[in-house]
Amino acid sequence: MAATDTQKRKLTVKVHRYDPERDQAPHWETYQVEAEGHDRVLDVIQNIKWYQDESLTLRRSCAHGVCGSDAMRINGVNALACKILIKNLRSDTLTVEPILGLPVIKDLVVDMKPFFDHYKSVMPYLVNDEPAPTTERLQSPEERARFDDTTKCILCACCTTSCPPFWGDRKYVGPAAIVNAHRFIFDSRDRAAAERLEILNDAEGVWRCRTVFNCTNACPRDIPVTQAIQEVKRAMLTGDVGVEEEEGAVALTA
Amino acid sequence: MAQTLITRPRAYRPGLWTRLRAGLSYGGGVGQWSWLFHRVTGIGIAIFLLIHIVDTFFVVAYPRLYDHTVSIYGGVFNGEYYWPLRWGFRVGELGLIACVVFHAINGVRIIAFDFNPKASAHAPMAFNLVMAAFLLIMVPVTVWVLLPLAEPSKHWKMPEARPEGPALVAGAEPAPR
Repeated sequence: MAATDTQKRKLTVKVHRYDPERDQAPHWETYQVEAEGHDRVLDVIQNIKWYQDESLTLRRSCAHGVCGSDAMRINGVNALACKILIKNLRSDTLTVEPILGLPVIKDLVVDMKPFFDHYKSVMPYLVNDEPAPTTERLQSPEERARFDDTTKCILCACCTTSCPPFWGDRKYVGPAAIVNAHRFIFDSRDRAAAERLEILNDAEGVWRCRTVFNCTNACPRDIPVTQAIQEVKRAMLTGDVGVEEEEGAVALTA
Repeated sequence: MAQTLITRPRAYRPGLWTRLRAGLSYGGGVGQWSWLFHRVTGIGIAIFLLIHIVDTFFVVAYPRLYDHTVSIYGGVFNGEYYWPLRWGFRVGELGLIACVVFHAINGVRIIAFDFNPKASAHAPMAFNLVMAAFLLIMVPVTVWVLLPLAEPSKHWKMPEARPEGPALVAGAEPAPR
Protein backbone atom coordinates (compact mmCIF):
# COMPACT_ATOMS: atom_id res chain seq x y z
CA MET A 1 0.00 0.00 0.00
CA ALA A 2 1.52 3.26 -1.08
CA ALA A 3 0.52 5.71 1.62
CA THR A 4 0.99 9.39 0.99
CA ASP A 5 2.03 11.89 3.64
CA THR A 6 -1.44 13.21 4.38
CA GLN A 7 -3.40 9.98 3.97
CA LYS A 8 -5.04 9.00 7.25
CA ARG A 9 -4.52 5.47 8.54
CA LYS A 10 -6.56 3.76 11.23
CA LEU A 11 -3.97 1.98 13.31
CA THR A 12 -4.46 -0.80 15.82
CA VAL A 13 -1.71 -0.21 18.34
CA LYS A 14 -0.72 -3.05 20.67
CA VAL A 15 1.33 -1.79 23.58
CA HIS A 16 3.21 -3.97 26.06
CA ARG A 17 2.09 -2.64 29.46
CA TYR A 18 3.58 -3.27 32.88
CA ASP A 19 2.64 -1.51 36.10
CA PRO A 20 5.08 -2.55 38.83
CA GLU A 21 2.55 -1.72 41.55
CA ARG A 22 -0.23 -3.89 40.15
CA ASP A 23 1.06 -6.41 37.62
CA GLN A 24 3.01 -9.58 38.20
CA ALA A 25 3.94 -9.74 34.52
CA PRO A 26 3.43 -7.49 31.50
CA HIS A 27 0.33 -7.73 29.34
CA TRP A 28 -0.83 -6.34 26.01
CA GLU A 29 -3.30 -3.50 25.63
CA THR A 30 -4.80 -2.47 22.34
CA TYR A 31 -5.72 1.07 21.25
CA GLN A 32 -7.18 2.52 18.07
CA VAL A 33 -5.43 5.59 16.73
CA GLU A 34 -5.92 7.57 13.55
CA ALA A 35 -2.66 8.91 12.19
CA GLU A 36 -1.37 10.59 9.08
CA GLY A 37 1.42 9.27 6.92
CA HIS A 38 3.93 11.86 8.05
CA ASP A 39 3.22 11.24 11.73
CA ARG A 40 5.81 9.28 13.65
CA VAL A 41 5.30 6.28 15.91
CA LEU A 42 6.10 8.62 18.81
CA ASP A 43 3.13 10.82 17.83
CA VAL A 44 0.89 7.77 17.89
CA ILE A 45 2.08 6.74 21.37
CA GLN A 46 1.72 10.30 22.63
CA ASN A 47 -1.78 10.43 21.16
CA ILE A 48 -2.64 7.39 23.30
CA LYS A 49 -1.07 8.98 26.37
CA TRP A 50 -2.71 12.38 25.90
CA TYR A 51 -6.18 11.36 24.78
CA GLN A 52 -6.82 7.73 25.76
CA ASP A 53 -4.73 6.47 28.67
CA GLU A 54 -2.56 8.91 30.58
CA SER A 55 -0.99 6.11 32.64
CA LEU A 56 1.01 4.95 29.61
CA THR A 57 4.66 5.60 30.47
CA LEU A 58 7.52 6.19 28.08
CA ARG A 59 10.77 8.12 27.86
CA ARG A 60 11.19 10.83 25.30
CA SER A 61 13.06 14.08 25.25
CA CYS A 62 14.04 15.77 22.02
CA ALA A 63 11.70 13.73 19.80
CA HIS A 64 13.99 14.34 16.83
CA GLY A 65 16.36 11.38 16.83
CA VAL A 66 19.16 13.12 18.69
CA CYS A 67 18.77 12.34 22.39
CA GLY A 68 18.14 8.60 22.04
CA SER A 69 15.53 8.40 24.81
CA ASP A 70 12.69 6.69 22.99
CA ALA A 71 14.35 3.47 21.88
CA MET A 72 11.76 0.68 21.82
CA ARG A 73 10.84 -2.46 19.95
CA ILE A 74 8.54 -1.37 17.14
CA ASN A 75 6.94 -4.22 15.19
CA GLY A 76 9.57 -6.54 16.64
CA VAL A 77 12.64 -4.46 15.77
CA ASN A 78 14.54 -1.94 17.89
CA ALA A 79 14.20 1.63 16.68
CA LEU A 80 13.66 5.18 17.89
CA ALA A 81 9.93 5.91 17.97
CA CYS A 82 10.66 9.44 16.74
CA LYS A 83 12.36 8.20 13.56
CA ILE A 84 9.75 5.77 12.22
CA LEU A 85 7.12 7.34 9.99
CA ILE A 86 3.62 5.90 9.85
CA LYS A 87 3.66 5.88 6.02
CA ASN A 88 6.55 3.40 6.16
CA LEU A 89 4.65 0.83 8.25
CA ARG A 90 3.75 -2.26 6.26
CA SER A 91 0.54 -3.08 8.11
CA ASP A 92 -2.06 -1.15 10.06
CA THR A 93 -1.22 -3.07 13.20
CA LEU A 94 1.56 -1.56 15.25
CA THR A 95 3.18 -3.37 18.17
CA VAL A 96 5.25 -1.44 20.66
CA GLU A 97 7.35 -3.14 23.35
CA PRO A 98 10.19 -2.09 25.63
CA ILE A 99 13.71 -2.98 24.47
CA LEU A 100 14.82 -6.47 25.39
CA GLY A 101 17.47 -7.52 27.89
CA LEU A 102 17.10 -4.70 30.43
CA PRO A 103 14.68 -4.79 33.41
CA VAL A 104 11.35 -3.10 32.68
CA ILE A 105 10.54 -0.37 35.21
CA LYS A 106 7.15 0.58 33.79
CA ASP A 107 5.49 0.07 30.39
CA LEU A 108 8.10 1.18 27.82
CA VAL A 109 10.65 2.43 30.35
CA VAL A 110 13.59 0.16 31.11
CA ASP A 111 16.33 0.41 33.70
CA MET A 112 19.31 1.77 31.76
CA LYS A 113 21.76 1.45 34.65
CA PRO A 114 23.32 -1.87 33.51
CA PHE A 115 23.75 -0.35 30.05
CA PHE A 116 25.51 2.77 31.33
CA ASP A 117 27.62 0.72 33.75
CA HIS A 118 28.99 -1.19 30.76
CA TYR A 119 29.49 2.08 28.92
CA LYS A 120 31.49 3.55 31.81
CA SER A 121 33.61 0.43 32.12
CA VAL A 122 35.44 1.09 28.83
CA MET A 123 36.76 4.56 29.83
CA PRO A 124 34.75 6.51 27.24
CA TYR A 125 36.73 9.73 27.57
CA LEU A 126 39.97 11.15 26.22
CA VAL A 127 43.04 10.12 28.17
CA ASN A 128 46.19 12.08 27.47
CA ASP A 129 48.58 13.11 30.24
CA GLU A 130 51.04 14.76 27.93
CA PRO A 131 51.42 18.52 28.44
CA ALA A 132 48.63 20.26 26.53
CA PRO A 133 49.85 22.35 23.61
CA THR A 134 49.03 26.04 23.53
CA THR A 135 46.67 25.41 20.61
CA GLU A 136 44.46 22.39 19.92
CA ARG A 137 45.77 18.83 19.87
CA LEU A 138 46.11 18.62 16.11
CA GLN A 139 44.90 15.70 14.04
CA SER A 140 44.95 15.06 10.30
CA PRO A 141 41.66 14.58 8.42
CA GLU A 142 42.65 10.93 7.87
CA GLU A 143 43.20 10.41 11.58
CA ARG A 144 39.85 12.00 12.33
CA ALA A 145 38.11 9.91 9.68
CA ARG A 146 39.43 6.71 11.27
CA PHE A 147 36.80 6.84 14.04
CA ASP A 148 34.22 9.12 12.44
CA ASP A 149 31.43 6.53 12.40
CA THR A 150 31.65 5.73 16.08
CA THR A 151 31.44 9.41 17.15
CA LYS A 152 27.80 9.33 16.06
CA CYS A 153 26.58 7.12 18.90
CA ILE A 154 23.74 8.64 20.97
CA LEU A 155 23.62 5.83 23.56
CA CYS A 156 20.01 4.88 22.84
CA ALA A 157 20.75 1.19 23.55
CA CYS A 158 19.09 0.00 20.32
CA CYS A 159 22.20 -2.03 19.42
CA THR A 160 22.96 -3.55 22.81
CA THR A 161 19.37 -4.64 23.38
CA SER A 162 19.12 -6.19 19.90
CA CYS A 163 22.14 -8.39 20.58
CA PRO A 164 21.35 -12.09 21.26
CA PRO A 165 24.55 -12.63 23.30
CA PHE A 166 23.49 -9.68 25.49
CA TRP A 167 19.98 -11.13 25.99
CA GLY A 168 21.57 -14.28 27.33
CA ASP A 169 24.43 -12.71 29.29
CA ARG A 170 23.93 -9.48 31.23
CA LYS A 171 27.66 -9.21 31.93
CA TYR A 172 28.56 -8.79 28.25
CA VAL A 173 29.62 -5.16 27.74
CA GLY A 174 27.50 -4.99 24.60
CA PRO A 175 27.92 -3.30 21.22
CA ALA A 176 27.33 0.28 22.43
CA ALA A 177 30.18 0.13 24.95
CA ILE A 178 32.52 -1.33 22.32
CA VAL A 179 31.51 1.36 19.80
CA ASN A 180 32.37 4.05 22.36
CA ALA A 181 35.65 2.33 23.17
CA HIS A 182 36.39 2.23 19.41
CA ARG A 183 35.80 5.99 19.26
CA PHE A 184 38.79 6.57 21.62
CA ILE A 185 40.95 3.55 20.80
CA PHE A 186 41.44 4.79 17.23
CA ASP A 187 41.72 8.48 18.19
CA SER A 188 45.31 9.59 17.51
CA ARG A 189 45.12 12.08 20.42
CA ASP A 190 44.28 9.40 22.97
CA ARG A 191 46.93 7.47 24.91
CA ALA A 192 44.87 4.77 26.66
CA ALA A 193 44.13 2.44 23.74
CA ALA A 194 46.13 -0.37 25.34
CA GLU A 195 44.18 -0.05 28.58
CA ARG A 196 40.84 -0.15 26.80
CA LEU A 197 41.91 -3.13 24.70
CA GLU A 198 42.93 -4.86 27.93
CA ILE A 199 39.46 -4.21 29.41
CA LEU A 200 37.75 -5.54 26.29
CA ASN A 201 40.09 -8.53 25.89
CA ASP A 202 37.81 -10.62 28.07
CA ALA A 203 35.24 -13.36 27.71
CA GLU A 204 32.63 -10.69 28.53
CA GLY A 205 34.36 -8.16 26.27
CA VAL A 206 34.56 -8.16 22.47
CA TRP A 207 34.95 -11.94 22.29
CA ARG A 208 31.32 -12.41 23.35
CA CYS A 209 30.33 -10.88 19.98
CA ARG A 210 29.03 -13.54 17.59
CA THR A 211 28.74 -11.31 14.51
CA VAL A 212 24.94 -11.55 14.47
CA PHE A 213 24.64 -8.08 12.81
CA ASN A 214 21.43 -7.24 14.72
CA CYS A 215 23.23 -4.20 16.16
CA THR A 216 24.20 -2.84 12.74
CA ASN A 217 20.61 -3.22 11.52
CA ALA A 218 19.12 -1.63 14.64
CA CYS A 219 21.39 1.43 14.87
CA PRO A 220 19.28 4.57 14.19
CA ARG A 221 22.50 6.49 13.43
CA ASP A 222 23.63 4.01 10.75
CA ILE A 223 26.87 3.21 12.56
CA PRO A 224 28.42 -0.01 11.16
CA VAL A 225 28.49 -1.42 14.69
CA THR A 226 29.63 -4.95 13.86
CA GLN A 227 32.45 -3.59 11.74
CA ALA A 228 33.61 -1.41 14.66
CA ILE A 229 33.60 -4.44 16.96
CA GLN A 230 35.56 -6.45 14.41
CA GLU A 231 38.11 -3.63 14.13
CA VAL A 232 38.57 -3.65 17.90
CA LYS A 233 39.06 -7.45 17.81
CA ARG A 234 41.62 -7.02 15.09
CA ALA A 235 43.46 -4.24 16.92
CA MET A 236 43.65 -6.57 19.90
CA LEU A 237 45.46 -9.20 17.82
CA THR A 238 47.66 -6.93 15.73
CA GLY A 239 48.19 -4.12 18.27
CA ASP A 240 47.74 -1.68 15.42
CA VAL A 241 45.43 1.25 16.11
CA GLY A 242 46.80 3.60 13.46
CA VAL A 243 45.26 4.94 10.31
CA GLU A 244 44.89 2.31 7.62
CA GLU A 245 46.90 3.43 4.63
CA GLU A 246 44.85 2.80 1.58
CA GLU A 247 46.26 2.43 -1.86
CA GLY A 248 46.98 5.80 -3.39
CA ALA A 249 46.65 7.69 -0.14
CA VAL A 250 49.58 9.74 0.99
CA ALA A 251 50.45 9.59 4.67
CA LEU A 252 50.69 13.06 6.14
CA THR A 253 53.60 13.91 8.32
CA ALA A 254 53.51 16.55 11.00
CA MET B 1 -3.54 9.66 60.37
CA ALA B 2 -3.41 7.90 57.10
CA GLN B 3 -1.37 4.80 57.11
CA THR B 4 1.61 5.11 54.83
CA LEU B 5 2.42 2.00 52.92
CA ILE B 6 5.73 2.09 51.19
CA THR B 7 5.73 -0.49 48.47
CA ARG B 8 8.90 -0.77 46.53
CA PRO B 9 8.03 -1.17 42.86
CA ARG B 10 9.71 -4.12 41.29
CA ALA B 11 11.31 -3.95 37.88
CA TYR B 12 10.27 -6.79 35.63
CA ARG B 13 12.97 -9.05 34.27
CA PRO B 14 11.62 -11.77 31.97
CA GLY B 15 12.62 -15.35 32.69
CA LEU B 16 14.68 -17.52 30.39
CA TRP B 17 11.67 -18.93 28.52
CA THR B 18 10.14 -15.48 27.91
CA ARG B 19 13.48 -14.10 26.78
CA LEU B 20 13.93 -17.06 24.45
CA ARG B 21 10.52 -16.49 22.87
CA ALA B 22 11.01 -12.72 22.65
CA GLY B 23 14.47 -13.24 21.17
CA LEU B 24 13.20 -15.63 18.51
CA SER B 25 10.44 -13.20 17.58
CA TYR B 26 12.91 -10.32 17.23
CA GLY B 27 13.07 -9.26 13.60
CA GLY B 28 16.81 -9.56 13.25
CA GLY B 29 16.86 -10.72 9.64
CA VAL B 30 19.35 -13.07 8.01
CA GLY B 31 22.17 -12.28 10.43
CA GLN B 32 20.15 -13.55 13.37
CA TRP B 33 19.00 -16.65 11.47
CA SER B 34 22.52 -17.55 10.38
CA TRP B 35 23.67 -17.15 13.99
CA LEU B 36 20.81 -19.37 15.21
CA PHE B 37 21.47 -22.05 12.55
CA HIS B 38 25.17 -21.94 13.38
CA ARG B 39 24.42 -22.62 17.05
CA VAL B 40 21.85 -25.36 16.37
CA THR B 41 24.08 -27.14 13.85
CA GLY B 42 26.96 -26.88 16.32
CA ILE B 43 24.87 -28.67 18.96
CA GLY B 44 23.86 -31.27 16.36
CA ILE B 45 27.51 -31.99 15.51
CA ALA B 46 28.43 -32.18 19.20
CA ILE B 47 25.69 -34.78 19.83
CA PHE B 48 26.91 -36.84 16.85
CA LEU B 49 30.51 -36.69 18.09
CA LEU B 50 29.40 -37.96 21.50
CA ILE B 51 27.57 -40.93 19.92
CA HIS B 52 30.47 -41.56 17.54
CA ILE B 53 33.08 -41.60 20.31
CA VAL B 54 30.96 -44.04 22.34
CA ASP B 55 30.34 -46.50 19.47
CA THR B 56 33.98 -46.39 18.31
CA PHE B 57 35.01 -47.11 21.87
CA PHE B 58 32.99 -50.35 21.60
CA VAL B 59 35.32 -51.59 18.79
CA VAL B 60 38.08 -52.17 21.28
CA ALA B 61 36.17 -52.73 24.47
CA TYR B 62 33.10 -54.73 23.41
CA PRO B 63 33.42 -55.88 19.76
CA ARG B 64 30.07 -57.74 19.87
CA LEU B 65 28.32 -54.63 21.16
CA TYR B 66 29.94 -52.68 18.32
CA ASP B 67 28.53 -55.07 15.72
CA HIS B 68 25.17 -54.84 17.41
CA THR B 69 25.31 -51.03 17.38
CA VAL B 70 26.32 -50.86 13.72
CA SER B 71 23.50 -53.24 12.77
CA ILE B 72 21.07 -50.91 14.60
CA TYR B 73 22.25 -48.12 12.33
CA GLY B 74 21.32 -50.40 9.40
CA GLY B 75 17.85 -51.00 10.84
CA VAL B 76 18.41 -54.39 12.50
CA PHE B 77 17.63 -54.62 16.17
CA ASN B 78 17.97 -57.99 17.97
CA GLY B 79 18.02 -59.82 14.63
CA GLU B 80 14.77 -58.24 13.47
CA TYR B 81 14.68 -55.71 10.65
CA TYR B 82 12.69 -52.52 11.30
CA TRP B 83 12.43 -50.18 8.34
CA PRO B 84 11.62 -47.03 10.39
CA LEU B 85 14.90 -47.57 12.24
CA ARG B 86 16.86 -47.73 8.99
CA TRP B 87 15.03 -44.73 7.52
CA GLY B 88 15.46 -42.79 10.75
CA PHE B 89 19.22 -43.30 10.82
CA ARG B 90 19.56 -42.50 7.10
CA VAL B 91 17.65 -39.24 7.46
CA GLY B 92 19.63 -38.52 10.62
CA GLU B 93 22.82 -39.05 8.64
CA LEU B 94 21.58 -36.57 6.06
CA GLY B 95 20.84 -34.12 8.88
CA LEU B 96 24.37 -34.60 10.18
CA ILE B 97 25.87 -33.85 6.77
CA ALA B 98 23.65 -30.77 6.51
CA CYS B 99 24.83 -29.62 9.95
CA VAL B 100 28.50 -30.09 9.07
CA VAL B 101 28.18 -28.44 5.65
CA PHE B 102 26.29 -25.39 6.95
CA HIS B 103 28.51 -25.01 10.02
CA ALA B 104 31.65 -25.21 7.88
CA ILE B 105 30.59 -22.75 5.17
CA ASN B 106 29.04 -20.29 7.62
CA GLY B 107 32.15 -20.60 9.78
CA VAL B 108 34.25 -19.49 6.83
CA ARG B 109 31.91 -16.50 6.41
CA ILE B 110 32.39 -15.52 10.06
CA ILE B 111 36.18 -15.94 9.81
CA ALA B 112 36.15 -13.72 6.73
CA PHE B 113 34.62 -10.90 8.81
CA ASP B 114 37.27 -11.45 11.48
CA PHE B 115 40.05 -11.09 8.93
CA ASN B 116 38.49 -8.22 7.05
CA PRO B 117 36.19 -6.02 9.19
CA LYS B 118 35.27 -3.95 6.13
CA ALA B 119 33.62 -7.04 4.60
CA SER B 120 30.91 -6.58 7.26
CA ALA B 121 29.20 -4.18 4.88
CA HIS B 122 28.43 -7.15 2.62
CA ALA B 123 26.99 -9.37 5.36
CA PRO B 124 23.58 -10.03 3.73
CA MET B 125 25.20 -10.93 0.40
CA ALA B 126 27.67 -13.20 2.20
CA PHE B 127 24.76 -15.03 3.82
CA ASN B 128 23.11 -15.50 0.42
CA LEU B 129 26.38 -16.95 -0.89
CA VAL B 130 26.53 -19.34 2.07
CA MET B 131 22.97 -20.52 1.40
CA ALA B 132 23.69 -20.91 -2.33
CA ALA B 133 26.81 -23.00 -1.63
CA PHE B 134 24.90 -25.00 0.98
CA LEU B 135 22.09 -25.86 -1.46
CA LEU B 136 24.58 -26.59 -4.25
CA ILE B 137 26.24 -29.21 -2.07
CA MET B 138 23.14 -30.54 -0.35
CA VAL B 139 20.97 -31.28 -3.40
CA PRO B 140 23.24 -34.03 -4.87
CA VAL B 141 24.22 -35.23 -1.40
CA THR B 142 20.55 -35.67 -0.46
CA VAL B 143 19.98 -37.85 -3.54
CA TRP B 144 23.17 -39.80 -2.83
CA VAL B 145 22.27 -40.44 0.82
CA LEU B 146 18.57 -41.22 0.39
CA LEU B 147 18.73 -43.24 -2.86
CA PRO B 148 19.85 -46.49 -1.15
CA LEU B 149 16.58 -46.42 0.82
CA ALA B 150 14.79 -47.29 -2.42
CA GLU B 151 16.50 -50.69 -2.39
CA PRO B 152 15.85 -53.38 0.21
CA SER B 153 18.24 -53.43 3.11
CA LYS B 154 21.37 -55.53 2.81
CA HIS B 155 21.43 -55.88 6.53
CA TRP B 156 18.23 -57.60 7.41
CA LYS B 157 19.55 -61.12 6.87
CA MET B 158 22.75 -60.36 8.68
CA PRO B 159 23.56 -62.70 11.55
CA GLU B 160 22.87 -60.96 14.82
CA ALA B 161 26.20 -61.76 16.42
CA ARG B 162 29.49 -63.22 15.44
CA PRO B 163 30.99 -66.16 17.41
CA GLU B 164 32.36 -65.58 20.86
CA GLY B 165 35.87 -64.27 21.16
CA PRO B 166 37.92 -61.33 20.05
CA ALA B 167 36.20 -60.80 16.76
CA LEU B 168 37.76 -57.71 15.28
CA VAL B 169 41.37 -58.86 15.37
CA ALA B 170 43.45 -59.68 12.30
CA GLY B 171 42.19 -62.71 10.39
CA ALA B 172 38.56 -62.24 11.32
CA GLU B 173 36.03 -61.68 8.56
CA PRO B 174 35.43 -58.06 7.68
CA ALA B 175 32.78 -56.34 9.70
CA PRO B 176 29.42 -56.31 7.93
CA ARG B 177 28.55 -53.00 6.45
